[in-house]
Amino acid sequence: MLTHIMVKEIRDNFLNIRFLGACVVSLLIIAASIAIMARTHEEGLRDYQSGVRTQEEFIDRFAHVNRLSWMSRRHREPPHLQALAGGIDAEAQQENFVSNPLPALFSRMDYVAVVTLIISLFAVLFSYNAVCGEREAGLLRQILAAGVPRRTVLAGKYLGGLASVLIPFTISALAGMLLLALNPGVQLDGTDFAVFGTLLLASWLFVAVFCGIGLFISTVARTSAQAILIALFAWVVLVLVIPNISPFLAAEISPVPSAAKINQQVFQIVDRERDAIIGVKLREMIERSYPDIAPTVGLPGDALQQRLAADLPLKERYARFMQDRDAMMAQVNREQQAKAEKINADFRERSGRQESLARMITSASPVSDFIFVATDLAETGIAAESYWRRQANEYNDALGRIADERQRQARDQNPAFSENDHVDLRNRPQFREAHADLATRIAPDAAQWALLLIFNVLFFLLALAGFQRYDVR
Amino acid sequence: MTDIIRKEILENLTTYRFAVLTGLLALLVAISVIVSYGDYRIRMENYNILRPPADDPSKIILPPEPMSIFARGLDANTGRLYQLSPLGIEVESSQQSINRLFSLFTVPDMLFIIKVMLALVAILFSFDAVCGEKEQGTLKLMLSGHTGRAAIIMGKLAGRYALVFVPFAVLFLAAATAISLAGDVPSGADYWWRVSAILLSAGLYVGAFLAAGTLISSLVSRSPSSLTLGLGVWVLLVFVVPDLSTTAARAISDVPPADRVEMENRLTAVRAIYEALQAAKGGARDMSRIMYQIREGNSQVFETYRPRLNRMIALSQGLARVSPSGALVFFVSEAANTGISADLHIKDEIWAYIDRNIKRFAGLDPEPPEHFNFRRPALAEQLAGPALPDLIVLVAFPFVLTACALGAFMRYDPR
Repeated sequence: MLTHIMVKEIRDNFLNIRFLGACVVSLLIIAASIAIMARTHEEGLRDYQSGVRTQEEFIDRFAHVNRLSWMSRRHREPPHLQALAGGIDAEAQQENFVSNPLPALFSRMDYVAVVTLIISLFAVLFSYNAVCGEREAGLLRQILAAGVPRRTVLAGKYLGGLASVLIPFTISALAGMLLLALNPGVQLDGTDFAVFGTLLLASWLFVAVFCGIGLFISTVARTSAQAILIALFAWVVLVLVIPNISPFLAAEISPVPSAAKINQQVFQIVDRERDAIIGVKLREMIERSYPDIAPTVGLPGDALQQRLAADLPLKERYARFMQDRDAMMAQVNREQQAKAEKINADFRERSGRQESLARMITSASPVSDFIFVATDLAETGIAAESYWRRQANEYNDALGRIADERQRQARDQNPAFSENDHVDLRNRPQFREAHADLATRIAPDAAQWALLLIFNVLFFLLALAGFQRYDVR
Repeated sequence: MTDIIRKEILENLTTYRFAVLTGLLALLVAISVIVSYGDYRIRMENYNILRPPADDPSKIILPPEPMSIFARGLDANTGRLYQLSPLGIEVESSQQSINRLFSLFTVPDMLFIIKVMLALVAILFSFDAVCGEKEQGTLKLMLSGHTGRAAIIMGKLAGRYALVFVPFAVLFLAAATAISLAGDVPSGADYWWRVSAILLSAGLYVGAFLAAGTLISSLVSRSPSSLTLGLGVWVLLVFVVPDLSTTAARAISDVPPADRVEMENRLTAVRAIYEALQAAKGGARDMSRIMYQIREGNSQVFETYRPRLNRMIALSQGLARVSPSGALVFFVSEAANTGISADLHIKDEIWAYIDRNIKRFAGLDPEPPEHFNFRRPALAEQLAGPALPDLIVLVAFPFVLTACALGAFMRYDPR
């Protein structure tokens, strides 16, 4: 019986103009977005490669210890599956004077955006009248009168509706992936295909959540008109409201002082406050232990030198004083540094707390869950960026050590060799970004995967409960 | 016709639909104002911390624009601290939020609410204007009276327009008043002119989507199909066309990424310093020569980059204006002074300022560098300049679509 209802549901949908429209639209938009994003990726990759070449040649020719960090700032290679999930848009961060302003005004229409905006809307449109529409048509009474259990009716409708959305969607997604794989400018390896498979699985889970929501609403509403309104309301809140307001909400709930303020405080501690403390301690030191030195304080350099040359015991005392003074200053510096580090650590902790709070709030929407999952899978999300940054820093530290070592060797031969002289850094190791394997990319979003599953089960159970009590007349 | 307008308003005023959608709009406007105002205050605080002393000409920072509460646009970018150094222009990074989630999602400002939500509400209020009436059978009755078809459709449009736009205008003005009452937002005549310009564009925008919904409604015979089609058009115009066209413009054009340009400039500077130090071994180094060399290198990069960037911006604006949403984003961000022209304008001014004062920065001229003066453009200049094409698009859409709806309704079969 279940299959009968399912088949009926699918046939119903397939003969509908709505279905045909959905197929054409999802195929066209996914294909267009992947073609355009692949082109962007290709350009980005070319720019990246020529940039690295320029940079490495420059280091070959001009490397010197003093400004090495200026020449070896790393740029990130565009991730392979960027065309599917754009993720964090480096251009939108507007880090440079010449940054392109457009990405800050518009988002990119990538596969993830198509799924979260368009396919989820299709899912709602295909399921909002599953139950109440049938009631309005008077068919529900007939089916139930035939002795079919309510559970079976609902499951059949759910699976049928789901299949009507997922079949055209999957065909479009596979066509898009084929388009991407055939693009000579995009190099895909085995992991990328495994990632795409996982991404498709996540997309199914995500779309199924919206089918479940539509089904649930159709068991609560009496008429289709009412159902579509509630369904759209839910869709707007989940797709447009929760994801976009949650970072701001988290910033209101768990405020973090700006980095500018922290920098200012740190500067105050390690600079101004340090100088003041040193001044006070110095005065105390002279008063308590070195009253005999006092007359020399504030003398100009030459006068001091004459004075010390004339008075040998004073010179010895002065040397002692200088030693103590240096020790005291080092001590103060250490203490102030520790204080500053505490502020920095506190800042990092609070920022981390705000970010996890934002993540928690936003995870209430399946859209955000899917975005986290997809961007982390495609290595365009937060986790991959942190991982890359760590690698780049490690590489640059290692490069700095090599440069120091080569400078030392050069200095052994020529004592006048300075930090501004060219060190030969040829045959240095090249930077290669290590990519996380599939399991590592899934791991940070375990909670989000679980939530997608839970939403699916939850809305289906709610729909079941709603339908059990549904008045079919 | 006034009877029809009255009927449309009264019929919808008590519905579930009106209550839900207006409630949703009110909620969103409230959240958006709170969130955007909080964001503005954080940027203001940053500005106060980073503001250089008056006698330091090497740092330039603009205060955040109060209108950015309505449309954040590029304000977080335009208001960065620019440090002019022998190396070029450095952009301060401590003003960006540490919370990286911001870069994954969109800003929920008033522009977002107008662009996305108001358009959706307009579609939801118009999809059944004609075919819904037909399904109920009342269309035949209406047409059998003395009222002409043109009067009926215009009455319907006007009534529904009032239903959508009046609640929004009230909410919007309440929000604008609330913001103007906050002590740290300068709200003189300019503020209200700009608020009015945004409200005007929202009015035109609602008109476009209502007319589109009515047009669809008079093309199909069943209201569920009309709704599905309307939602499809909404997604297409609001998201697909503007986003895809800017993505496409980025893909087609040959603009190098900004960090590439920045790298070229940085390497030019390092090379100039290195070569000067090598040449000056033991002697005094010639700082002014270094500066000129760097400046020349940077200018070359900048001058080949900028025209390409401008071409790309023009291309994506041209493509995005196919949809009223694209035009709305450009228009509202210009009216709020947070748009593309404001951003590019300040950067050009900074560039020209360095050019004028390069000798003074290099110490070749004993005079201190002149004071950097920057005036954000007045609203009238923007409306007549960069925002004019968008205004034309925003005006054209509702009129053309209304004419189409009228034409479609003239041939509509009411049976």
